[in-house]
Amino acid sequence: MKILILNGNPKAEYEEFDLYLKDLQSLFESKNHKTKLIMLRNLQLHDCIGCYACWLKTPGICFFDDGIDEILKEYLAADIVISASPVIMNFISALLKRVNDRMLPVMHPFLKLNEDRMGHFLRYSHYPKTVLLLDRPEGSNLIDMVYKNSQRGAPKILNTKQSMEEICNEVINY
Amino acid sequence: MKLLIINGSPKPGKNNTAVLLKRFIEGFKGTKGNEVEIFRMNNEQAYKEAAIRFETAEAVLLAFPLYSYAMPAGVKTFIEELEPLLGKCHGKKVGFLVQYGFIEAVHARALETYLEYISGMLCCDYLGTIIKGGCDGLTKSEKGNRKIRMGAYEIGKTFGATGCFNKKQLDDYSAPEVQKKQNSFLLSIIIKIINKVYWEKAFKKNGVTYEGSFAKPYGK
Repeated sequence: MKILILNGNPKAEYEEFDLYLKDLQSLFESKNHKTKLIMLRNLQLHDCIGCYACWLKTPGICFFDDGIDEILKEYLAADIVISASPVIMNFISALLKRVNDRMLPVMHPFLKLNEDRMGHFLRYSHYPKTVLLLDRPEGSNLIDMVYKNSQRGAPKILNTKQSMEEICNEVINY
Repeated sequence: MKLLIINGSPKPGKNNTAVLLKRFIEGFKGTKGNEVEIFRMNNEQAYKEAAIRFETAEAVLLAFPLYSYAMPAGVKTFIEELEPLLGKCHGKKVGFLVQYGFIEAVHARALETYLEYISGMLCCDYLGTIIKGGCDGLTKSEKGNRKIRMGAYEIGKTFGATGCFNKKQLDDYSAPEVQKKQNSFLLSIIIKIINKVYWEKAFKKNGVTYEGSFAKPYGK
């Protein structure tokens, strides 16, 4: 299985979180799952500015050439993407949200009706399963609510207070 | 009342959020003595500056577009700047305006719950959240979408006169909550027209063909 871990920890001094993800990566690899870990705070990613270039000018490609293309490639090539973030002000970090917003190129502008509400066409035929890994259980219900609303459904939400073995099993058997 | 309006649209220029705010402010200023300070927030420095202004403001309206079913990353950066104010904003009124393209209100309801929760954590008086879908392209025609603009004006007027949002007025403005099943046939036709005359026209103007718009540069 191919796994991508996006580390959305904005603070270098919160080493514990980074180390946890490194250990998790090693655990996946020890079980023969190819695992890539991207440290988001080391990239100088721009916020999405809603320019729609990825829909209307260069379909599927973001206007900003700041390394987002690598993330999009890895995202689409993965079987499972683990977006990891500390809970800050009861939500995912702005750093992780930035990457979230920058995923617009994987959608197509055309609208469609999904039962009782509008959604967008998907650009690709294959997408990874998504896991949100938070540093604590508190706040996860609000985050879960927000993402449950999204078109591709809620990601599985796990937290680093769970044992690493348990996380690993949950992810692999997802 | 003096109202600080923070516009968190990440767009560099014209933005749909500002179109709604303009009308809201007109309504709000209909009551004598009401004043507005508008602060545009779309870069790192501005998020910090906005948090400083938030701290001293009597009443705040935070307005932004819905991105991936939540606040844009920049607005989240601003919210993180408010962390030192948790539990310290007694008496400060705070309301929100969230606008986006999909027509139904349901898309922003979970976020609304979050906004109310975080207002509570700050110990602000939560006014409510103005939710309005169908707002994509508001900047493109000054004359179109009159109902959307006037609704924002009326809500601003009520707020200016009473210092509160009226729940019923907000709900009427946000409607429909979801699409009714009996409307789905008609709506699927409307959606096809939007795709054709709005989106397809927009990418063709840039020389992108129908097939080209479905390009898959990074996968299958």
